[in-house]
Amino acid sequence: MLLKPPIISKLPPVSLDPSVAQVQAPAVTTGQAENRMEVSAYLTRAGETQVLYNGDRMWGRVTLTLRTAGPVSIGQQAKLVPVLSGIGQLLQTGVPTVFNVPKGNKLYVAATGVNVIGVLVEAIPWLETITGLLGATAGATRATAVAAVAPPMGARRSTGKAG
Amino acid sequence: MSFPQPAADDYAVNNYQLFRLNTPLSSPGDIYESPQGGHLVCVGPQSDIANINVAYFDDQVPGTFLQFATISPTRSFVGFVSARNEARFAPAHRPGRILCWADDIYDPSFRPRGFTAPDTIEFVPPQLDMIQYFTPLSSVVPPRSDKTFVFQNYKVATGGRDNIVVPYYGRKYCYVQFTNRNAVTANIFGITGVNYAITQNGTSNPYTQETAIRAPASVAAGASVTVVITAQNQGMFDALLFSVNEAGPAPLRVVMSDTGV
Repeated sequence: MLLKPPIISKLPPVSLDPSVAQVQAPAVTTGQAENRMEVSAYLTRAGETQVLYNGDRMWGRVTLTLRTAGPVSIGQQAKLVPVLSGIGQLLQTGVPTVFNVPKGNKLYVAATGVNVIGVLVEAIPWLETITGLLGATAGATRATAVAAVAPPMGARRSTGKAG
Repeated sequence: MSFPQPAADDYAVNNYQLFRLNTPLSSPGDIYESPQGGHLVCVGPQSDIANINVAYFDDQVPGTFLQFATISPTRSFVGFVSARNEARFAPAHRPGRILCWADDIYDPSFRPRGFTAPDTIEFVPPQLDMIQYFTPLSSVVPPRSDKTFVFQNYKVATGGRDNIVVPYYGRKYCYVQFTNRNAVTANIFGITGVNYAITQNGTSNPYTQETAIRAPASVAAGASVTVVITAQNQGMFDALLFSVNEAGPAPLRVVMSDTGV
């Protein structure tokens, strides 16, 4: 008899009842792609702000090391120019700078010329799980508290007057 | 200048930690540029030019926004300087760059006093060698390499004199050895120290100064002459001029150094 491995969906179980409020449960598994690290070199262009790292799927620890003199500005805003304006943070040559980028955030980069940045992206899938768990716990706690305080549906409010 | 000049961006993209501008000068007006910022600028080991001007964008310099410093074999320029490509120099409205040019004068139109046809003159063009480091360094004291020039046969027209000019900017010591290997004829050999000056074009009385280090005198067949030139005894010159009146063979060896004795 051929044994098949159990099919485990990455999508957590959800209720199909639209009247039931729910918080997305954390993923119980992670895909290989989400654990993959990325090591690369990024070449900046002059004048424009570009997306250096897009964290739309997963938390990530991004380590940036400027290999040239710069100046190179890093930030979360989509417009970082002028580079020396202080909108972003300037990288220092040869000094690794670490950013823990939450899911859904982006890192932008702007420079006044051609520069080389060493980029190391390490996925943090467990942080996604923890975040989801915390969210679920907080949601459940809040729902319980609201249920305990709120009067049952249809009950009359007391006015303090008899009959 | 070598054209096109080396591109600093290529050095950066190829992960060199420095940009080196090593080029012969063809005129004193050559200006070079780097769009890269740097942490240190110094004179390179091959440089004949001793003093190099380095200019950069500075918002607080009225009128031009051009600030500059002069570096030499005894003084590098340490500290981060941005190329500021996004800014504009005034009034030319040219983008920000780190610019450099020779502070020493080079004049390939120079002719020594008494130069008349059919005399000839040849110049060894001075080398401009500058290094811009992209990474921080605590300090660099960049003494230049000793240089050796060797000649043995000369382009002498009948009845004329041949002059050879070699760069000597900022050197403090020079050893000259000249041997007449012609077995028959004597050779009149002289050494002159030259300090260039800016003179209007076409003037009959240029301001260039000449110092006789060895007045032209005959060197007998098979004889040898040795001259030591020091900053303390003879002075400092932009160039040394060697003159001969025979085609040779007559090996001439010139060794110069930044360190005096």
